[in-house]
Amino acid sequence: MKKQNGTSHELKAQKISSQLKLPQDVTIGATILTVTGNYEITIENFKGILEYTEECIVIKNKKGMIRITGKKLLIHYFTNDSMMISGIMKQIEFL
Amino acid sequence: MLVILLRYLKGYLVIQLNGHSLERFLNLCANKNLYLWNVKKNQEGYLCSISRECFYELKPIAQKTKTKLSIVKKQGLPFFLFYHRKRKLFFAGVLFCLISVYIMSLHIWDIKIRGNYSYTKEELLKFIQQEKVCCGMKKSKLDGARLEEEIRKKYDSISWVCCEVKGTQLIVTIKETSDYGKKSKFKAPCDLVSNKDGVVLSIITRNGTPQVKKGATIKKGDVLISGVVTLLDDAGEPLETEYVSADGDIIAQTVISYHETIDLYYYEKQYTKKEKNFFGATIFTKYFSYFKNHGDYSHYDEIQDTYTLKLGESFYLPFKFHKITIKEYNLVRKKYTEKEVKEVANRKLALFLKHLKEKKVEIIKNNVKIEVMENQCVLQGDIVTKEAVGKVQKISRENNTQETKEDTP
Repeated sequence: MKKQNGTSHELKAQKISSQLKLPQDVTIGATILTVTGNYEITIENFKGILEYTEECIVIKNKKGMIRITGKKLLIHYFTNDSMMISGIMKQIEFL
Repeated sequence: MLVILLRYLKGYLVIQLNGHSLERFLNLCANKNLYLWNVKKNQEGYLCSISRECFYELKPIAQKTKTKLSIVKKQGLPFFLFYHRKRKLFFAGVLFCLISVYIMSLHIWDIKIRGNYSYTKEELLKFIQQEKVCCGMKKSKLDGARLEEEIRKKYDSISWVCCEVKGTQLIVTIKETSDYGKKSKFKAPCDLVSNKDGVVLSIITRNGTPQVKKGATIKKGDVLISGVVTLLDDAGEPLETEYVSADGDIIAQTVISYHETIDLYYYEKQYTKKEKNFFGATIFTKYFSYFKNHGDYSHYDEIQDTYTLKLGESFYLPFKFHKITIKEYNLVRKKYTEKEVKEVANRKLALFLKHLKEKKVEIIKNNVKIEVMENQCVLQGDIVTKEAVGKVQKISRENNTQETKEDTP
């Protein structure tokens, strides 16, 4: 799932990069979320964690924030470029 | 799985984080490329795991974010070794164990035979032992090629042998040929003589001079195909005598007389459900078992189960455990009824015929009659069969020389 918040400038950038078949996480810094069922999610290309509790995790990306809500959330691993969250996911929001 | 093992080998710490800006602490850790895992929220703050080396780099970050760090648990091999550093005997034991496993892996502890059906495993094992290949010998001293050669030499009907060492197990795989015996690979001059009485149904000569014709009656020992080939000149006089190895296919009709008696009285085992168990062990090549007491059992069956200790699939260790079960039974004299004895007789006859068919003998007629008498049952009769006859017999040297001498003048 890919997401851009965006002005017309960004939409243009997205169009160009998709036509040139360039990876959008590199060209416009889009965050990549890989969701497995409702129990595991891998996030790449993010800036950092803003909030972490068992029910809610807020992650900052280039343009905004991603909020993941659920139950018994656990950060499986956490490095500079990727992180994996496991638990029971309920909602993924782009703020 | 591999990651978990690596973490355990390197050693890691479970730490408790307390403070007001723990998210910032996590972000700073990520920026410094410090790998954190299993980050879990609890009442006091966060609980997370970090590798041993990275822990020392946390200090400046903790000071910056005013986070309190406390170690909850130290896990992994380095910590385990450190805690138990004073237990010298334990480490000596581990070392001894590793060395002994290594030394044991240099030997052969099990011999398996595959592919045998006419030779028993015991017979082959005995021969292999005679060739100085036995359990406990060094793998490096085993000469597989020589053993294969010896087995092939000793047993003619084994056409292919493969000796393979897998782990600490020697696997001898053999292939037996079924039609051995009639024609050998004699290179010396030989005749093909009959091994049975009968009537020749067909004869195909490949090498030598045929001595019988289709329809001829033959007796055991008669020469069917002679290895002596006489070349005649134009006048029909013998010119030259050549000795060859006779070869050919002779199909003959033979008669097998079958006779078998079955006693109507027989003994049957009746198990009394009384049994005793004993245990024994083979360590290296020595057999140990504590005193076996058969008690008052007058008749008993002894069943031995052997379990070999092994690591993985093929690393057999030189330890075997034996479980010996002794079952008592009483012998009860019984008598067959007429119907029962006929069934037994029919079964015996069917087995006999089956064995004949396995030997590629075709059965034309079966005249065997079953007669039940007072105390016994008699199976008697002739079985007319169609089979290949002929066995190789060397032409004796003396005869040859005499014949040649006679021929020359």
